[in-house]
Amino acid sequence: MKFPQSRQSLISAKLSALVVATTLLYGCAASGPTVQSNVTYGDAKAVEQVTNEFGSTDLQTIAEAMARSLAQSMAKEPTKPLVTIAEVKNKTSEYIDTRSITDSIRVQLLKGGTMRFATDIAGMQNQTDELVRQNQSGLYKQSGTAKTGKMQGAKYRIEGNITSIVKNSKDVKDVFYKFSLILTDNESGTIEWADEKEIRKTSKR
Amino acid sequence: MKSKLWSLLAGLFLSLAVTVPSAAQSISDKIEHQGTSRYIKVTGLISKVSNGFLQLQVELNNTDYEDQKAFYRVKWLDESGFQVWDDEAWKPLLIHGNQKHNVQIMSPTNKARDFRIQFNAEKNWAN
Repeated sequence: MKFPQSRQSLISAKLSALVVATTLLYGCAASGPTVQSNVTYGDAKAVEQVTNEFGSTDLQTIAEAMARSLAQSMAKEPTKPLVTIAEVKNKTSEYIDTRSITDSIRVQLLKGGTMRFATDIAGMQNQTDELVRQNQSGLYKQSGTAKTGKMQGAKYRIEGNITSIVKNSKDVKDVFYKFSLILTDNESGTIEWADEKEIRKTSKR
Repeated sequence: MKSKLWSLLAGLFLSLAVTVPSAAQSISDKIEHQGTSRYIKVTGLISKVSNGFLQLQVELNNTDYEDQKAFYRVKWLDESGFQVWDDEAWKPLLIHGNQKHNVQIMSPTNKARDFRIQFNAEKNWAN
């Protein structure tokens, strides 16, 4: 049935108004301090089971286990020992940022208050650059600068490695990680603490 | 005489009813279950202070014949119940069928004097 022109335009105006109202209402219902997008924030502490490669949960678990074991062991020291982080070797076949693991261990140990950390090899360039800038640039008041030759040597160093054993069959891939860490007395060369963390991840094809 | 005896027995019965909390009740005070676990039960919990750090040992019992997975983490509190450490990462657990598994946990700071274990089993009863 064909409506007369005036009625048609009335219906289309009403439909347009309905569409506009619905859009406005939807916009109000979806309000919040966000800009709408297809990105969602997840839980950084959740267990990640996306693949069987080294992941965030492995990093967090290792750092936590090593830091707590070391903190407990060093709690016996009469004063907070000065420690430095040496190299943690990646002996696995995949890329693992071992620096990230040791950084997490250091953060937890510093927050726990059981030890102090000296500048490690990775940070020495920045340390010396800063001392040179303060003492030799001529820009700083000498009474307020950090003096050269006053750095404290670490009593202990932390070093270790991470290895993996990968096994593949038709249906299953099994990856076994072992993270080992030792604390060595820099003067005597004795190993004062050692611990390791093992992780197994299995995936089915 | 008989009424005195009955009174005595009633008193004894009442005194036994009002007792210190049972071991199971103390464990439940320390565990925050996320859902009702179907197969994994927390059957033991002991704590001690070693070198100023709180140490826990939790016994988990898998009542099923198949392997079961669960996740846990700990909230560390001081004497007044204030949280003294950031939220930890969740740790995965695999408990074999009919296995009793001990989980040993060390506190990250010597400020921790109390704790709550958040526990999440993969298989829960629907609420």
